Parts: sequence; structure tokens; C-alpha cells
Amino acid sequence: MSVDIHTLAGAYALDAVTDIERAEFARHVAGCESCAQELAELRATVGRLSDATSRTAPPNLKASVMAAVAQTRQLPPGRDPEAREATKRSRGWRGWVAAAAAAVVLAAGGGVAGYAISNSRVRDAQRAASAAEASNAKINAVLTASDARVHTDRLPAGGQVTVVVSAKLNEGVAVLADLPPLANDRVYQLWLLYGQQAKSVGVMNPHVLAGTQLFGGVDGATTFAISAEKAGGAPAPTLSPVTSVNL
Amino acid sequence: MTSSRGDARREHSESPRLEAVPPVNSPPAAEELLGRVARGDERAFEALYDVVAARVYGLARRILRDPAQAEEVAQEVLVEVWRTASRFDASKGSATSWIFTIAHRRAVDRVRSEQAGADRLQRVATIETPYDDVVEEATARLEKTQVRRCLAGLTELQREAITLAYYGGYTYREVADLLKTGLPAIKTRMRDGLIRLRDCLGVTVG
Repeated sequence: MSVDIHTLAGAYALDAVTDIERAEFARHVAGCESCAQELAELRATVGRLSDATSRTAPPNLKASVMAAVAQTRQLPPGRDPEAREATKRSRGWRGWVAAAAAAVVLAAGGGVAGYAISNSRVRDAQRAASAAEASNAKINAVLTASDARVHTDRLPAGGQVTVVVSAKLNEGVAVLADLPPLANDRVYQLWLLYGQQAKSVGVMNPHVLAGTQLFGGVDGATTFAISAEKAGGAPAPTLSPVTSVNL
Repeated sequence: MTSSRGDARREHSESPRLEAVPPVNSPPAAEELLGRVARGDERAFEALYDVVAARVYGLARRILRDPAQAEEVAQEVLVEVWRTASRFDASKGSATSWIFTIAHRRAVDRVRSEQAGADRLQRVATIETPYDDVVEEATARLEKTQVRRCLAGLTELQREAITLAYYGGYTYREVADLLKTGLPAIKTRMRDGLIRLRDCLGVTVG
């Protein structure tokens, strides 16, 4: 994102950005005092827009909310806003691409045991194992890393891949959206290429056409690629990649 | 005899924000309620609910369309306000601004995840003004009229870009697609439009 980031202030205040753009802009605002002031004013303005759609809430909503509140613990005071943003995101990270229900396991030694996040409701995500929480925190760490670099590619047959890598963390996150459907016995597989060598960083479940994948081993990687393989994945890409993104 | 001029009746709140001057016996401001909520005061939260629920629900309803989902999201938002009230920083903006920021974010996240994969760009037949089908509220009519008037004062492109983004939950790239306009122009329209709205509404932040 080399374009002047300040131009994003209006879109950001309107939530008209993707989660990745939001993380980038938030990171910028954290270090820019004048941006923070402008953003506060834009947010206050945007907040007024809800006046125009005000509508009497259903009568049972109040009782419902009060009952939920009676059972909800409050956060203690403290934590600066940037940490708050990071915590909020790591708890319930979800792009519009996929809800976060991550349980990413990369087997050691070249085998492929990872699976991408499938599209599921946030509620389910919040019930997921603590491994998912840890993964979300790692995903968030990559997105908000000070040296994070973003690469985006639109696939010729439709869909988009966004790859964010942090050399410092030696990790990356791939966000996949709207990939074209494959034949029944085929799945998408994700790769990091080191020159001619390929390492699998995940095999998507059948019929899953969007997802988010955390991967390591960024150091020395030249390319991120996606290929279509037989269900279960392959040890090396068998066909030309569907897309590749130079890192 | 000492002049009593120093004994100034404080009709105005400490905040420099341009808001209507409340009468002397006005209900507590949202900031005060939120402060009490942060300390666990459920009665204060109930009073705060009465202040914001219609706008939170109405916004969710406009963005999500489905009444059941709107109710779910409204509840999530209000519970989140309760849960994180201690995180509200009065130096960064008003309590209502904070609450509606949470509300908008939740509603947009929900509508996007509900429609991931579907072609959201096809949903829009016409760019509706945000208040076509809204039931009139007896209260807050002044503020509603003011927002509508100020929206009408924007250029068509500014208004459409902001409307699609705010009430439709679209990203600026999607808005650019829908309005067949370049990305830089859309970003500029959003920012310029909001600045114009800000000035029209008299919004300031201490």
C-alpha cells in the first residue's frame, strides 16, 4: 500500500475497508497525532449517520439485553487503545473473506496436515479450541507487524489472494477470497517457493473457496503460490499454479 | 462586598462540543452513564440503553435487513458496550460516537460474513437513501432531520459513496465498482463528504 495512506481516512471511518487495510491504517494512526485527531472527528461525524436510521427496538430486546448483561463480566480498566485494538482483533479476527475458526496445524517434515479456515459463524469461532486463539493472535501479529508487506493478486479466473508477510516474524498470512470452484476430487493447495523448491503451507478442504492461512518459513521464500491438486494434497505442485505472488 | 460574578451558573457541560444546550434538569449525559456502567452500574446501563437502543437497532436493521439478525447484532453490540465500558476514552470522542462505532463495525462484519461468496455487488438495484423505509421516531426527530438535511447538501457522488459504505456495508473498492468510479476519487469523495457533513452538523471533538 504505497499510495498516500491518509486518503483512506474517510473510508476507514466508514468501515469501508478490508480487515487488512484496517490493520494497516490503524498501525499508521498509532504513530500520527494529526491523523488521530482527524479520525476522531470523522468518527464522530459518521456516528451521527445513525440518527437517520433510528428505529424503535422490539420490546423484548431490552429484557434480553439486560439478562445477558447480568451474566457478562466486564473488562477491568486499563490497556491503551492500540493494545485494545490488537486484543479485540486477536479474539475475534475475521475478514469478510472468512470467519476465524482456525486450528492450523502444520506437520513437521514436509507432510501436509494443515487445513484452512472454513467459512463459519463467529459464534462457533469463539467456541473453538485455544489453539485457534493462539493462531488468531499470530495472524494478528503478522497483520500488524511494523515490517508487514502486503501483496495482492487477482486470479484470472476470478477470486483474489492477499499475502501479508513479516520478515521479522518470519511468518505470513494468506487471505483467499472467491476462488473458482474445482472438480469434486480436487482441492486448493498453498505453497511457498524457494527458487525451484516448493514447500506446502496448507491444503484447503474440498469445496472451500475462501480462507485464511498462517504460515512460517518466510525467510528465503521467493513466491507464494496456489495450485489445484487431488484431494488430500500433493507433496509438490503437480500442475502449474493457479496463481503465484512474488514476495 | 465581593462580586458574585465569579459564581457562574454552569449551564454548559465541560465539553466544547457543539450540542444543544440541555435544560438545567436534563437527564445525565451518555458520558456520565457510561462512566457508571464501567463500574458495574446496571441501572445506569439501562438508562444508556434507552438513549442509544433505537439508533443501534435501527442501524443494524438497515444494514442487515433481516429483523432477527438485526436484533442479534443489536444485542451483541449492547452487551459489548457493557463488557468494555471501561475502555471508553472520553478524550477521544463522545460516548455515543464510541457506541455507534462499535455498532457499525459489528453490523458490517456480520453482513459481510453472511454474504461472503455471494455477489454483494448485485444486491444493489438502486442506491436508496438510508431512510426510505424507516418508521418515524417520535423522539430524536430534530437530529434525524438535521442529518438528512446535511446529507442532501453533499454532492451526489459524495452522498452515494457515503450511503453505500455506511448503510450498505460495502468496502470502498466495492463502492468504486458500483459507482463505476476510480479508487482515488471514491476515497476522496468519502473523506470530503464526511468533512462537509462534519461542518454542516457542527461536530467537534474536544
